[in-house]
Amino acid sequence: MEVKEDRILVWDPFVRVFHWSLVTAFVVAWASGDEWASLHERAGYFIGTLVVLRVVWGLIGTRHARFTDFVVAPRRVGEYLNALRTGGGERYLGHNPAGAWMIVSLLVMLTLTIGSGLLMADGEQWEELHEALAWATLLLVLLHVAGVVVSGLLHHENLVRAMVTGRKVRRQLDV
Amino acid sequence: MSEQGLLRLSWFFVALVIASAVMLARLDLPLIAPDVEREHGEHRHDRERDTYGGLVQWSSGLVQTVVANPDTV
Ligand code: HEM
Repeated sequence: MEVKEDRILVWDPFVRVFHWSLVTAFVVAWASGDEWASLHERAGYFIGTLVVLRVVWGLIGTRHARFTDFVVAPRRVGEYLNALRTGGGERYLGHNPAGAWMIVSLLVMLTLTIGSGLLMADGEQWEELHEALAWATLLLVLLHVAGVVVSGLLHHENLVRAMVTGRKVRRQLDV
Repeated sequence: MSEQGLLRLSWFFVALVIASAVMLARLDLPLIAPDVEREHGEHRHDRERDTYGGLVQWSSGLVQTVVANPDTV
Protein backbone atom coordinates (compact mmCIF):
# COMPACT_ATOMS: atom_id res chain seq x y z
CA MET A 1 0.00 0.00 0.00
CA GLU A 2 1.32 3.41 -0.85
CA VAL A 3 1.48 5.78 2.04
CA LYS A 4 0.62 9.25 0.95
CA GLU A 5 3.10 11.71 2.33
CA ASP A 6 2.02 15.10 3.42
CA ARG A 7 4.89 17.27 2.22
CA ILE A 8 4.37 20.90 3.02
CA LEU A 9 6.33 24.06 2.34
CA VAL A 10 8.16 25.08 5.50
CA TRP A 11 11.05 27.28 4.26
CA ASP A 12 9.97 29.99 1.85
CA PRO A 13 12.15 30.96 -1.15
CA PHE A 14 13.83 33.84 0.67
CA VAL A 15 14.86 31.70 3.67
CA ARG A 16 16.47 29.18 1.32
CA VAL A 17 18.22 31.76 -0.89
CA PHE A 18 19.31 33.59 2.27
CA HIS A 19 20.80 30.44 3.75
CA TRP A 20 22.79 29.22 0.78
CA SER A 21 23.94 32.74 -0.12
CA LEU A 22 25.13 33.10 3.46
CA VAL A 23 27.03 29.81 3.29
CA THR A 24 28.70 30.87 0.02
CA ALA A 25 29.57 34.36 1.25
CA PHE A 26 30.90 32.95 4.53
CA VAL A 27 33.26 30.62 2.65
CA VAL A 28 34.36 33.45 0.34
CA ALA A 29 34.98 35.75 3.31
CA TRP A 30 37.15 33.13 5.01
CA ALA A 31 39.06 32.28 1.85
CA SER A 32 39.77 35.91 1.03
CA GLY A 33 40.42 37.19 4.56
CA ASP A 34 44.19 37.55 4.43
CA GLU A 35 44.63 37.55 0.71
CA TRP A 36 42.17 39.61 -1.17
CA ALA A 37 40.89 42.63 0.72
CA SER A 38 38.48 43.96 -1.89
CA LEU A 39 36.72 40.62 -2.27
CA HIS A 40 36.76 40.06 1.50
CA GLU A 41 35.09 43.39 2.15
CA ARG A 42 32.47 42.84 -0.53
CA ALA A 43 31.65 39.45 1.03
CA GLY A 44 31.34 41.18 4.40
CA TYR A 45 28.95 43.83 3.09
CA PHE A 46 26.91 41.11 1.41
CA ILE A 47 26.64 39.09 4.62
CA GLY A 48 25.59 42.28 6.41
CA THR A 49 22.84 42.84 3.86
CA LEU A 50 21.69 39.24 4.22
CA VAL A 51 21.52 39.52 8.01
CA VAL A 52 19.52 42.76 7.87
CA LEU A 53 17.05 41.27 5.37
CA ARG A 54 16.73 38.11 7.48
CA VAL A 55 15.98 40.11 10.62
CA VAL A 56 13.27 42.08 8.80
CA TRP A 57 11.89 38.82 7.42
CA GLY A 58 11.97 37.36 10.92
CA LEU A 59 9.52 40.06 11.95
CA ILE A 60 7.16 40.09 8.98
CA GLY A 61 7.86 36.85 7.07
CA THR A 62 6.07 33.58 6.48
CA ARG A 63 5.05 31.41 9.42
CA HIS A 64 8.19 29.36 10.09
CA ALA A 65 10.53 32.23 9.18
CA ARG A 66 9.25 34.39 12.02
CA PHE A 67 11.20 34.68 15.24
CA THR A 68 7.95 34.31 17.18
CA ASP A 69 7.53 30.88 15.56
CA PHE A 70 10.82 29.44 16.81
CA VAL A 71 12.53 31.56 19.47
CA VAL A 72 11.37 29.96 22.72
CA ALA A 73 12.36 30.26 26.37
CA PRO A 74 16.05 29.34 26.74
CA ARG A 75 15.26 26.61 29.29
CA ARG A 76 13.48 24.73 26.51
CA VAL A 77 16.87 24.22 24.84
CA GLY A 78 18.10 22.14 27.78
CA GLU A 79 14.83 20.24 27.94
CA TYR A 80 14.95 19.49 24.23
CA LEU A 81 18.59 18.34 24.30
CA ASN A 82 17.98 16.18 27.36
CA ALA A 83 14.99 14.57 25.72
CA LEU A 84 17.06 13.91 22.57
CA ARG A 85 19.76 12.25 24.65
CA THR A 86 17.31 9.84 26.20
CA GLY A 87 15.77 8.88 22.88
CA GLY A 88 12.85 11.28 22.97
CA GLY A 89 12.60 14.86 21.83
CA GLU A 90 9.69 16.22 19.91
CA ARG A 91 10.12 16.69 16.24
CA TYR A 92 9.56 20.24 15.03
CA LEU A 93 8.27 21.24 11.65
CA GLY A 94 10.09 24.57 11.98
CA HIS A 95 13.34 25.14 13.91
CA ASN A 96 13.74 23.16 17.14
CA PRO A 97 14.65 25.09 20.35
CA ALA A 98 18.37 24.31 20.09
CA GLY A 99 18.43 25.25 16.42
CA ALA A 100 16.55 28.43 17.18
CA TRP A 101 19.12 29.68 19.68
CA MET A 102 21.91 28.62 17.38
CA ILE A 103 20.36 30.80 14.67
CA VAL A 104 20.07 33.75 17.03
CA SER A 105 23.71 33.27 18.10
CA LEU A 106 24.87 33.02 14.50
CA LEU A 107 23.03 36.20 13.50
CA VAL A 108 24.43 38.08 16.52
CA MET A 109 27.98 36.82 15.95
CA LEU A 110 27.85 37.65 12.25
CA THR A 111 26.69 41.18 13.15
CA LEU A 112 29.53 41.61 15.66
CA THR A 113 32.10 40.23 13.22
CA ILE A 114 30.95 42.62 10.50
CA GLY A 115 30.87 45.52 12.96
CA SER A 116 34.45 44.86 14.03
CA GLY A 117 35.46 44.59 10.38
CA LEU A 118 33.94 47.99 9.65
CA LEU A 119 35.81 49.42 12.64
CA MET A 120 39.07 48.49 10.91
CA ALA A 121 38.54 51.61 8.81
CA ASP A 122 39.49 53.33 12.03
CA GLY A 123 42.80 51.55 12.45
CA GLU A 124 44.44 48.17 12.76
CA GLN A 125 43.82 47.92 16.50
CA TRP A 126 40.51 46.25 15.65
CA GLU A 127 42.05 43.46 13.59
CA GLU A 128 42.56 41.08 16.50
CA LEU A 129 39.01 41.48 17.70
CA HIS A 130 37.74 40.93 14.16
CA GLU A 131 39.75 37.73 13.83
CA ALA A 132 38.69 36.43 17.24
CA LEU A 133 35.02 37.01 16.38
CA ALA A 134 35.47 35.33 13.00
CA TRP A 135 36.97 32.27 14.68
CA ALA A 136 34.19 32.15 17.27
CA THR A 137 31.62 32.35 14.48
CA LEU A 138 33.35 29.54 12.61
CA LEU A 139 33.17 27.44 15.76
CA LEU A 140 29.43 28.09 16.00
CA VAL A 141 29.00 27.16 12.34
CA LEU A 142 30.70 23.81 12.97
CA LEU A 143 28.39 23.21 15.93
CA HIS A 144 25.45 24.29 13.76
CA VAL A 145 26.28 21.78 11.03
CA ALA A 146 26.87 19.05 13.63
CA GLY A 147 23.49 19.88 15.18
CA VAL A 148 21.81 19.67 11.78
CA VAL A 149 23.35 16.24 11.13
CA VAL A 150 22.65 14.80 14.59
CA SER A 151 19.06 16.03 14.95
CA GLY A 152 18.36 14.94 11.37
CA LEU A 153 19.64 11.44 12.13
CA LEU A 154 17.70 11.20 15.39
CA HIS A 155 14.45 12.33 13.78
CA HIS A 156 15.09 10.32 10.60
CA GLU A 157 14.89 13.23 8.23
CA ASN A 158 17.13 15.06 5.81
CA LEU A 159 17.17 18.65 7.06
CA VAL A 160 19.70 19.79 4.46
CA ARG A 161 17.42 18.69 1.64
CA ALA A 162 14.56 20.54 3.31
CA MET A 163 16.66 23.72 3.30
CA VAL A 164 17.04 23.22 -0.48
CA THR A 165 13.51 22.24 -1.47
CA GLY A 166 11.77 24.05 1.37
CA ARG A 167 9.57 21.03 2.00
CA LYS A 168 9.19 18.72 4.97
CA VAL A 169 6.93 15.79 5.67
CA ARG A 170 4.26 16.60 8.19
CA ARG A 171 3.91 13.93 10.88
CA GLN A 172 1.16 13.37 13.37
CA LEU A 173 3.10 14.29 16.50
CA ASP A 174 4.88 17.38 15.21
CA VAL A 175 5.10 20.52 17.29
CA MET B 1 -1.06 39.67 4.97
CA SER B 2 -2.12 36.16 4.01
CA GLU B 3 0.47 33.35 3.88
CA GLN B 4 0.06 33.39 0.09
CA GLY B 5 0.84 37.11 -0.01
CA LEU B 6 3.87 36.62 2.23
CA LEU B 7 5.12 33.89 -0.06
CA ARG B 8 5.01 36.35 -2.95
CA LEU B 9 6.74 38.97 -0.82
CA SER B 10 9.45 36.41 -0.13
CA TRP B 11 10.33 36.47 -3.86
CA PHE B 12 10.73 40.22 -3.58
CA PHE B 13 13.27 39.63 -0.79
CA VAL B 14 15.07 37.16 -3.06
CA ALA B 15 15.25 39.92 -5.69
CA LEU B 16 16.77 42.23 -3.07
CA VAL B 17 19.48 39.64 -2.33
CA ILE B 18 20.35 39.35 -6.01
CA ALA B 19 20.28 43.11 -6.52
CA SER B 20 22.62 43.73 -3.60
CA ALA B 21 25.04 41.04 -4.80
CA VAL B 22 25.15 42.60 -8.27
CA MET B 23 25.52 46.09 -6.84
CA LEU B 24 28.38 45.08 -4.51
CA ALA B 25 30.16 43.31 -7.35
CA ARG B 26 30.04 46.39 -9.57
CA LEU B 27 30.56 49.13 -7.03
CA ASP B 28 34.05 50.55 -6.75
CA LEU B 29 34.39 50.40 -2.98
CA PRO B 30 37.13 52.19 -1.11
CA LEU B 31 39.18 49.69 0.90
CA ILE B 32 38.47 49.72 4.61
CA ALA B 33 41.83 48.54 5.83
CA PRO B 34 44.66 50.02 3.76
CA ASP B 35 46.86 50.47 6.84
CA VAL B 36 46.67 46.83 7.73
CA GLU B 37 47.88 46.01 4.26
CA ARG B 38 51.00 48.03 4.75
CA GLU B 39 51.58 46.54 8.17
CA HIS B 40 52.11 43.11 6.66
CA GLY B 41 55.10 44.49 4.84
CA GLU B 42 53.58 44.01 1.42
CA HIS B 43 50.50 45.11 -0.36
CA ARG B 44 47.70 42.64 -0.23
CA HIS B 45 46.94 43.51 -3.79
CA ASP B 46 50.28 42.10 -4.83
CA ARG B 47 49.69 38.90 -2.96
CA GLU B 48 46.20 38.81 -4.32
CA ARG B 49 47.66 38.74 -7.78
CA ASP B 50 50.19 36.09 -6.72
CA THR B 51 47.78 33.62 -5.18
CA TYR B 52 44.59 34.02 -7.13
CA GLY B 53 45.90 35.79 -10.21
CA GLY B 54 48.21 32.87 -10.92
CA LEU B 55 45.35 30.43 -10.58
CA VAL B 56 43.07 32.50 -12.79
CA GLN B 57 45.80 32.88 -15.42
CA TRP B 58 46.60 29.20 -15.38
CA SER B 59 42.96 28.11 -15.76
CA SER B 60 42.14 30.67 -18.42
CA GLY B 61 45.24 29.53 -20.32
CA LEU B 62 44.00 25.97 -20.03
CA VAL B 63 40.55 26.91 -21.33
CA GLN B 64 42.07 28.84 -24.23
CA THR B 65 44.27 25.90 -25.17
CA VAL B 66 41.35 23.50 -25.07
CA VAL B 67 39.11 25.81 -27.08
CA ALA B 68 41.85 26.36 -29.67
CA ASN B 69 42.75 22.65 -29.96
CA PRO B 70 39.69 20.60 -29.07
CA ASP B 71 41.32 17.37 -30.29
CA THR B 72 44.05 17.55 -27.62
CA VAL B 73 41.56 16.55 -24.97
C1 HEM C 1 27.50 23.32 4.54
C2 HEM C 1 27.21 23.92 5.66
C3 HEM C 1 25.80 24.11 6.19
C4 HEM C 1 24.74 23.26 6.20
C5 HEM C 1 24.67 21.84 5.65
C6 HEM C 1 23.64 23.96 6.85
C7 HEM C 1 22.38 23.45 7.03
C8 HEM C 1 21.31 24.12 7.61
C9 HEM C 1 20.00 23.58 7.82
C10 HEM C 1 19.56 22.18 7.43
C11 HEM C 1 19.24 24.53 8.40
C12 HEM C 1 17.78 24.37 8.87
C13 HEM C 1 17.80 23.91 10.29
C14 HEM C 1 16.45 23.38 10.72
O1 HEM C 1 15.91 22.50 10.05
O2 HEM C 1 15.94 23.86 11.76
C15 HEM C 1 20.06 25.70 8.58
C16 HEM C 1 19.65 26.90 9.11
C17 HEM C 1 20.45 28.00 9.24
N1 HEM C 1 21.81 28.07 8.99
FE1 HEM C 1 22.94 26.64 8.13
N2 HEM C 1 24.08 25.19 7.22
C18 HEM C 1 25.38 25.33 6.83
C19 HEM C 1 26.20 26.42 7.01
C20 HEM C 1 25.79 27.60 7.59
C21 HEM C 1 26.65 28.75 7.75
C22 HEM C 1 28.10 28.83 7.29
C23 HEM C 1 25.89 29.70 8.38
C24 HEM C 1 26.25 31.08 8.81
C25 HEM C 1 27.40 31.63 8.71
C26 HEM C 1 24.57 29.15 8.59
C27 HEM C 1 23.53 29.82 9.19
C28 HEM C 1 22.23 29.34 9.28
C29 HEM C 1 21.10 30.14 9.71
C30 HEM C 1 21.15 31.62 10.11
C31 HEM C 1 19.99 29.30 9.68
C32 HEM C 1 18.53 29.69 9.95
C33 HEM C 1 17.82 29.74 8.63
C34 HEM C 1 16.61 30.63 8.67
O3 HEM C 1 15.62 30.33 9.35
O4 HEM C 1 16.66 31.67 8.02
N3 HEM C 1 24.54 27.87 8.10
N4 HEM C 1 21.33 25.41 8.10
